[in-house]
Amino acid sequence: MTTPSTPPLRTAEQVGEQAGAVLREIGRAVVGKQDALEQVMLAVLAGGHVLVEDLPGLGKTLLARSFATTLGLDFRRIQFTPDLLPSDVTGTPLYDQRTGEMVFHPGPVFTHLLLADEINRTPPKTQAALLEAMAESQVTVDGETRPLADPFLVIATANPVEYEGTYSLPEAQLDRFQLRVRMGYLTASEELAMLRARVDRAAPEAVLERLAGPQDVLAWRAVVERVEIDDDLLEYAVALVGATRDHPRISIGSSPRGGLALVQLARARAVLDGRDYVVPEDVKDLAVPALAHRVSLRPELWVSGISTDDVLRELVDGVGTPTTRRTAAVSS
Amino acid sequence: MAVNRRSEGDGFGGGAHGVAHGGRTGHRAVPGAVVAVGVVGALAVAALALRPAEGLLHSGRGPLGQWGIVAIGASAAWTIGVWTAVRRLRPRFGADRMGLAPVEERLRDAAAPLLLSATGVIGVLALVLHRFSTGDGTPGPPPPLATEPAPEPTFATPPPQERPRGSGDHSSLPLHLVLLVLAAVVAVLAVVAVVRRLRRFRLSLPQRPGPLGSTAPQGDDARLLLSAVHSGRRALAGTDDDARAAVIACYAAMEDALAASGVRRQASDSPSDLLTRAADAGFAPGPAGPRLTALFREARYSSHPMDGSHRTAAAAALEEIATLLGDRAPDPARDGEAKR
Repeated sequence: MTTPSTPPLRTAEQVGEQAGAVLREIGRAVVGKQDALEQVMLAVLAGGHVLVEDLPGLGKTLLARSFATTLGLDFRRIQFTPDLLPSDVTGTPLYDQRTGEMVFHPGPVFTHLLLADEINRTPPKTQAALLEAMAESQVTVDGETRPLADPFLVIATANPVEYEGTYSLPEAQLDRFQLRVRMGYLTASEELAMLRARVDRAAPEAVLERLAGPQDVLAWRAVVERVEIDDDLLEYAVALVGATRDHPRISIGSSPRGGLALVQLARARAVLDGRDYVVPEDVKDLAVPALAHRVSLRPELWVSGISTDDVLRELVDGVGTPTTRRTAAVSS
Repeated sequence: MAVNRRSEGDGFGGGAHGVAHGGRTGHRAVPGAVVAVGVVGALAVAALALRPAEGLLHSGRGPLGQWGIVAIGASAAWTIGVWTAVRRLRPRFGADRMGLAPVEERLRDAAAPLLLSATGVIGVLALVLHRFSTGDGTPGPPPPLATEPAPEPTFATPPPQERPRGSGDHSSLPLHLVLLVLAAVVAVLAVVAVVRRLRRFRLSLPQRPGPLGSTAPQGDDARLLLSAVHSGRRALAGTDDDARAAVIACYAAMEDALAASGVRRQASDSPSDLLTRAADAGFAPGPAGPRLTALFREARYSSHPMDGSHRTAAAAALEEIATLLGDRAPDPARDGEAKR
C-alpha cells in the first residue's frame, strides 16, 4: 500500500486512539481530571499554549510533568519569582575565555514543553520575554533570532486568589494562550480513589510510560490541519466571538485570535474523537475555555462574584447553532 | 480605548450580528414641516378644548371641551405618539453604554423608564380628569364669574351647598372604572414583558405537571410523534438519488417527532443537547437516536461520500424510533397510523 521509505499518513481515527491512550496513561497519575486533561491534549494537538488557573494543590504541576513524560517531550520548568530576569528565561550570551568570543547560553525556553509555574509572580518585563517565544516560537537576543524547538508548548500556571506580590497578566499576554483550563476540586469519590492509589503504589507519584515522541506530536498536528469544517460552523464561531463584543456585561470582547483558537481547538477535538470533520459540539463545548480568558468584564461586575466563565456560558446559550438543513446548497 | 475596541468589534462581527438580528432597517426621518404642523394642530385643539381662566385640573369648557370625543381622541393620539417615540428612542437609550461611567449608567437606567412611563401617564390623566357630558349634549351654563366678593361666612349659618352644575350633565368617568382599566392594562403589559423576557433568555413557561409517570407520549401526542416519523419515511422515499439528503431528512423527522412531543430544539442546541433534552423529558429515542444523530453529523458537516449503506442505516434507525414510539402509543393511535 505504502512504500517503506515514506511514513504512512495517519488517519484521524488512528490519532484519536493514540491520543486517547496518552490520556489514559496520564489519568493514572492525575486522577479525576478528565476534562482538564482533554483540554490540555487539545492544545497539544492544536499547537497552542495552555494557562492552568486554579487554587494551589490541585495538581497543576503534576499535570504538566505527566504530559511531558508520556509524550516523550523535553521538559523544563521555570519557577517565576519577582526577581526573575528576562535573560533567565530566554538565555544570555557569555564571554568564552578560551575562544575569546561571546557564546550564547540558551535559557530554559529552549525546550519542547515549558512549565511556567506561577507566571503571575514575575514582573511584566519578564512575562513579556515569554511573549515572543509563545507567539512566534523564536527568541531574539542581542539582535539575533533563534528558533525554538518544534513542537514547543507552554503550560503556565497561575494562582487566582493571591494578589500580594503578584502581577496580573496583561490582556495581550492572556491572548497568547490558546485556552484556559480550570482544574477544580475532586469529588469525594475521586479524592478517595486518589488517596487509595497513593497508598497502593507506595510511592509519591506514579511512574508513567512514554507513549509518543516529538515526531508523533508533529504528525498529529498535521492530521489536525486536514480536518474539514463546514462554512456554517465557521459562521457559528464568528457569531460566538462577535457576541462577546456586543454583550452588555463585557467591556472588551474577544480578539480575532480568539476565533482562530476556537476553530483550531474544535478541529483538534474532532481528531481526538476520531473524526476528520468538525461538528457543532466541538465548537460549542470549547467556546468557554477558548474565549473566557480573552474578554474583560465591566468594572462594576468585578465585585459581584461573576466570572467571565459564567458570562461566556450564558452567551453560548444565546447564540444559535447551525440549522438542521444547510442554508446554502452544496454538492454532496 | 473602549471606543476603538467597539469599532473593531463591529468590523469583525458585523455580518453575523446583522444576520442574527434580522437586518433592522433604519427609520425614515419625519420632515420638520410635518412635525411643526402637528404641534400647531395639537396646540389649537388644546386651546379650543380648555378654558384658560380656570385651573389646570378643572374640566375644559372651551368650544371643543363639551365634546368627549375630543378628549378621547386627544388622549389616544397622545398615547400613540408616546408609544411611537418610545420605540424610536429605545435604541438610542441602549446605545453608547460603553462611554458611560457606572454612576451615569445607573442614573440612565433609572431615568429612562421613569421619563417614558411618565409621558404615557399624561394621556391617561387627561382622560380621567375630563368631565364628560351625559345629557342631550347642550352645553351647560358657564360658571358664574367671581365679579363680586364672596360674602363672609358666618358661624351661625352653615355654608350654602354648592349648586349642582347643569342638572348633572357634567359627570366624570367613575374612578373605580378607570382604575380597573388601568390595572388591566398594567397587568397585560407585565405579562407581555415577562413572556418576552422568558423568550429572550430562551426559557419556557413552566408546564402544568401531568399525572405521575406520564412523561411518555400519550394519545394525541403519540399520534403526532408517529405522524412526524411517517413524514420522515415519505421524505426518505422522495430522495432516491441523494443519500446525504435522505440521512438529513431522517434526522429532521426525528427532530419533528421530538418537537411534537414537546421537546423542541432550541436555537442554541447542538444535536447532543437535543438528545440530552429529550432524555431529560423522558422521550429518549433509544439507541437509535444517538446512531441517527451520528449519521446526521457526518452527512451534514462532512464531505464524506454518502452511499446506500448510510441511507439504509438512517432508515433503520428511524424505523426503530417509530417502533419504539408505536409501542408507547395506545392501540387506537397505532391502528389509525396503520390504515394510512
